[in-house]
Amino acid sequence: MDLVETMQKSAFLGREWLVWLWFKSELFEGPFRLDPHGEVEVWLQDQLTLEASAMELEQSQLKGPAPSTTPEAREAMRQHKLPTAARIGLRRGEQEYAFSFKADSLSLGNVSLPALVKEETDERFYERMYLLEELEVMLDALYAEFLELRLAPCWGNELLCAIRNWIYDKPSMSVDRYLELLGEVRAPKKPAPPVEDAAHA
Amino acid sequence: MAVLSGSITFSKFYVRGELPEGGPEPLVEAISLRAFKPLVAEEEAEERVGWCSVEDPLDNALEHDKVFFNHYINLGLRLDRWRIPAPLFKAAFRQAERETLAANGREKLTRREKDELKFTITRALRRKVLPAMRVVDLSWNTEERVVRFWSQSPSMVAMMTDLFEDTFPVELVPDGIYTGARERGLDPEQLAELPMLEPSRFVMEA
Repeated sequence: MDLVETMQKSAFLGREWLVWLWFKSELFEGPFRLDPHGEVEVWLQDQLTLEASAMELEQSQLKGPAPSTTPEAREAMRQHKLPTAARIGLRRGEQEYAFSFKADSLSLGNVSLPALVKEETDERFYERMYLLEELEVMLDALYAEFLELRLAPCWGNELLCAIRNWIYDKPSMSVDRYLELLGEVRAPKKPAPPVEDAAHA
Repeated sequence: MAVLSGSITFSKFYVRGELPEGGPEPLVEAISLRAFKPLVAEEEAEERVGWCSVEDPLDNALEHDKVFFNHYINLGLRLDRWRIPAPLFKAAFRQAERETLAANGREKLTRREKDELKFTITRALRRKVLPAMRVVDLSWNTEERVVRFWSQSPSMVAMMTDLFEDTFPVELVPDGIYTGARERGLDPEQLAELPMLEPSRFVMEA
């Protein structure tokens, strides 16, 4: 499979990443630990777009103070629509970011950075790039966490069921259980036991 | 001047390939070879693209200090295009057609004469108007081997990719699900599994 074909085949994962991020933000309802960055908080802001698969071409565009918390958002997902774009807030300590995120390309737009303090043009550039790259590093960590879980057996065995229940407003999963699963996925793999020599069996 | 201030909306790319040895100077030379050159009315070209200073789009003398910000290379991609307003062109063409017909005592121009007249009118109007200019910034973190281009327009991205790869002997790979996973340190075993994944079923079937 060449790179272009691989990229096309994996494109749906961006939407699933956004579903997972939305789920996680509501599960934790506040700051959570994001190694190695410390405590961060993520929430969906005032714009959310959900789309059905390419064949159906249906789209729901939700705007308002918190469209992700509305019954319309959950109903859209129950109609097989997944989030394709969202305005997202991210806070770490005193620094707060906001950005528009497109799931299919993982691209960022209208990024709002924490207030800059430098005044000289060159210094402002370095400060802007530093803050932007910090944001990207945190998003990288979130993406890595999603991929670790997505590729692990617990996705199909437990997490997917919890996300489904969340979509249907049913009890889904506790924070403790989520952290247990994450810990299990990240635990160093035990080496396989040695295979017995048939001659000595 | 989006790199230095203003709205932050960008496309992200990873740089593949090795740059020539010799430090920054070969890079500055390569950039200068692809520096923007203004359109000229008498030329055939309808548009032209090239690099300019990120601080001044009219400055295409791209020396080291205008391009290098420590380990960042900052450039403006400038695209100029002739845009003659259609009503202006039509009015000028009709006037020229009337004058030509009157001067020759004829009632109608041939197709070839019309084409030649269009060519002449276009050149004349180009001497009176300025080309439409568009500038999009680019920032290349040469340590991280990441390029950020301040546009998500597919046509601008394609134009930038062509110019960048003409300028430097490297390839730009756009960020995305799979390349992002690779760059973010997924191990080879996990990376091999990624394309094999099937979409999750988030909806309970009735």
